[in-house]
Amino acid sequence: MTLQPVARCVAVSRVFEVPQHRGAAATVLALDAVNIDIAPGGLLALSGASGSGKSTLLSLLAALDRPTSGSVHVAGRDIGSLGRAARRRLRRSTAVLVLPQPADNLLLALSGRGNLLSVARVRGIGDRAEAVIESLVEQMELAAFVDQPCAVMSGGEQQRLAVACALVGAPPLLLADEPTGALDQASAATLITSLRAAVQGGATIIAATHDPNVIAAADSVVRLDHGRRVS
Amino acid sequence: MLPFALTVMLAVFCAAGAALYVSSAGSASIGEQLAESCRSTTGLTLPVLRDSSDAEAIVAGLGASLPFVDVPRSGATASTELIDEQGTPRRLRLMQLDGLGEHVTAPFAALALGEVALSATNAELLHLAVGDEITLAAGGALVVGRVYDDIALAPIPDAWCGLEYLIAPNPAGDPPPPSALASRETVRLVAGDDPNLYEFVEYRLTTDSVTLTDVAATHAAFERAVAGWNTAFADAPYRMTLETELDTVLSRGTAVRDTVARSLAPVRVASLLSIACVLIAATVLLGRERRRELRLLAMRGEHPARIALAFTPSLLAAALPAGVLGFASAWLTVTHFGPSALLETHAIRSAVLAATACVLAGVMLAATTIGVLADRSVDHPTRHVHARFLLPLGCLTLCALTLWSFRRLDTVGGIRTYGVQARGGDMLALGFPLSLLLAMTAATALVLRAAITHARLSGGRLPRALRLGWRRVVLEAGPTVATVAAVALAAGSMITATALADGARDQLHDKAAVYVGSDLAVTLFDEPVLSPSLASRATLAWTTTADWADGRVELWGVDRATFAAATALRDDGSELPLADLIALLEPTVGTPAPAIVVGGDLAVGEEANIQVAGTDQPLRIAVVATARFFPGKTSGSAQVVVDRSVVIAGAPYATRKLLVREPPTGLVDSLRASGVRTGVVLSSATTFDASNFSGLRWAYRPLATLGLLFASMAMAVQLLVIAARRETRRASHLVMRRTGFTRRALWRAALVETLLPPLLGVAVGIGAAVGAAALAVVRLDPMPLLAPPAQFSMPWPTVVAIIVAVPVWAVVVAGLIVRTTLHSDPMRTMRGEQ
Repeated sequence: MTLQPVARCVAVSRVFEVPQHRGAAATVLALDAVNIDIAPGGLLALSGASGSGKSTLLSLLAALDRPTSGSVHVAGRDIGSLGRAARRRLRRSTAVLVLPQPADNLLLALSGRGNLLSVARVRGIGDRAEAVIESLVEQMELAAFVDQPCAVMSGGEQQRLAVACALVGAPPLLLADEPTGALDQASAATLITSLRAAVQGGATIIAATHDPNVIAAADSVVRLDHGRRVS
Repeated sequence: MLPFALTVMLAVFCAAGAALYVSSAGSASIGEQLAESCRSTTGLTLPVLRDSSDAEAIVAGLGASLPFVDVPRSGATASTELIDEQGTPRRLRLMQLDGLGEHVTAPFAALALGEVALSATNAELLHLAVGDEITLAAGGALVVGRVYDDIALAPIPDAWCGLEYLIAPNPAGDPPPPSALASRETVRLVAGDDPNLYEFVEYRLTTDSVTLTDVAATHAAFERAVAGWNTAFADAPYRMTLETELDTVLSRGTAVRDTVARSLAPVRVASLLSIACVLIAATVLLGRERRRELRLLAMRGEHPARIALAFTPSLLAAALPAGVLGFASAWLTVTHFGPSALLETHAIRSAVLAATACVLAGVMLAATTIGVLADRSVDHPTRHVHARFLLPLGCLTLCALTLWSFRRLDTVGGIRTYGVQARGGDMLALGFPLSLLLAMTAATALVLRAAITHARLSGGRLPRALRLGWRRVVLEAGPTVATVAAVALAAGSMITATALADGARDQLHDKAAVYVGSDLAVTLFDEPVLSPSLASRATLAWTTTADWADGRVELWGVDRATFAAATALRDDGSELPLADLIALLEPTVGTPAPAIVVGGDLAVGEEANIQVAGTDQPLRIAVVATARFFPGKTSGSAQVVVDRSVVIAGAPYATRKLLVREPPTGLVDSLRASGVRTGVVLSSATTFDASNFSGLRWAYRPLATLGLLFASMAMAVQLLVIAARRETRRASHLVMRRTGFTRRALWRAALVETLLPPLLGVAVGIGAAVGAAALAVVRLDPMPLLAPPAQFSMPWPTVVAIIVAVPVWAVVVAGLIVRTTLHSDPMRTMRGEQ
């Protein structure tokens, strides 16, 4: 039996208009007819040089942007045709994005547990929240710092917590943009371990990265170059 | 959060201040009306019937329910006849009123039974002195116990007002019938069973300040008391009706309040809309500060409503104290600088409700903006609604509104005064100056935005510091356009408000001067003898009405030697100066009388016949000059001015008028004292009801407040821009100072940045205000049928004050820029931490 892809990009292009002097605008082709099928489970590494379109693709998959042409399907739904509310629901519980800067993924005024509870509330987990969080704390090895305010955590701790937040409620698709980009080697290694643990738990993760360690840990790799898929 | 709180404060200030201001204007109008009215005629007089034993108690009971009245005064009056020295019976009115004797010179507390007090004139008229006996025709006698000085007439003392019929001469100059003050017992004794005896209790309004609501309550209580009196004395020979001038006072006060309210409405709408825009801008700034948090919440899929709700407590925490401050500021401003410090309870309640509504609306608007901002921060719509179309659309809408309001103003005019009433005040018509200001500002903003878009790289040949300042001006269209627009609206509103208020004052002065003829006009029945100092600024004119082919005409005979020195004619009254005009009137024997014609269809060189009452022969005149208006013109009828000899010879019933420029105090009294009989006295200072003018002034003043509001906004916009650009400014200065960019250069750049937009705004504001005021002043003429027509005059003091204030503010803001740029930790700046 063939598994339905959790996400699919069909001839996806994205063109940005960049305002220039005297009211003129230049166009930048960020993605050029990209086709990708992402099977459920596993860690997919999106690699490529800066400006190759990795983050744009993640934004499209995370329903933060719309393609100029082509279609992006997540969990069987064409993101481009969805309304604002439906796209919001998709972001809430289906395609969750982790940003490169650890601090950008957390409400710094709250503790780690506060952030996890906040996400659990948004995703409507309700009574099971405590159990789900405890399970994630154990799985991601957060116990040592989860009750501390996020502002005092290290970058590595913050990013692991961010991944944990993203995994609350087991969304079908986790999108991570340069997850190790702002971390030292040790922290990056711990995070990769965490990502692998999440995959073992059934998550599907797409990580846009330059980090060879992440690429090495990935189950599959997609390379982009100037907006085109090259492998 | 500070910009948001300040904006809420401004909104509360406007909303609550408007309600309080209207009430304050109503109270002030009532205060002025009451000050100008006689407290006796605005009060209530309840008759005490003699044939009812408990009449006094019943009246006292009715009076006890009257609010805002002073301690009642009881009185009695009766007429009798005395036998004079020649044995001829003469009518004598006896008067008693509590405390009246204390308000004469010399005062006295009480008179004994059978004793009377006479005024000096009455004593002289009856040839009586203190101690003389007055023989009554009906038998018995009275003794003259006191003789007091005549009561002053202009103004009449408060205690004597309502009793003018006892002391003031009639319009023909004849003295009133003799009267005397007596005790209640004496009046009753003399009257006996005479039904002419009239006893009463007078209830006067309190001398304390009262509001419009208080007066309305008092008027209603008067009506109830009259109804109660009619019920209690159902068998009385007459039914009592409420005869008080309080209803006039009330209706005038209400008219002024309504006029101010109507005038305030467009100002309030404009200010609240503008504040809403600033509130959104302030919230966007807040959203920028917390964009990371907003973006995260939106990325997590939080509904915008929940994000808005999450921010509501902190917004409320800022808005509540801001609202309290705004309300307190409005209260203090209105009570200290408004028309009156007296505010009605319902107005305070409305103001509190308006303040609460503003706080809640402000919080809701800000929370909604934050929710929308958060949602838009992660999910951009593919099809943008381009903002560049919004400004032209808004500009076109404002232009249409301006045209519509101008047509309305042209048709119905502004606030019109009809006698003592102020009517009109159509909201759309009164909104014309403001809508023109808004339209011109929007048009400027439109042009400026386009110009800035094309000027971003301009100024390349300027020195480095000036170039930096200029480039920051043209860096972003939004802040520069917002600053220019806010300053333009501020300057425009203040100048327009001053022009309209000053215009109303000048119009009143000019019209009064023409109506009266000079500063003072006194109708005389005898030839006066004037002191040399007074003679140099006084003239005698003979006036009468006559008929000619076009209908009624006012015929004036003027003294060619003195008229021009005692009167004045505004420049637009005639082609010639007044002295030259008068010089043309020299009559020549055997030819038609040279005449100046004001109004009418006659042209210079034409001749006409005037039929003067009391003569068979028409008066032949030859027009030597025409004028648009002339001193003494009081109606729409034509005025014909000739030499006085012509009127004296040809009009037997002409009235003699003394016209005086800058009259000394007590001139009329001194004329009377010298034996000259005087008739109607007109003063240009009091001819037109001052309270109506106050109503106009109060109606236009809020526009100046709006100007201050826009000025605050302009300052807020500049400060917001400084705050928003602080980080980039610090970072760029860190780099630039290594390349020789000194503190002085930074100052120069900051001055260019802070001075240019406000200067442009002031120029636009002045232009728009002059246009708006010039078009509006003529059409806002409160008495368009009365010459001279309204005239626009430039309010130079306000213009100069604004022009001076702008550079001062620019220096302050430049100082802030320099300070915030230099006082930073370079390392933290480079890391983007501050």
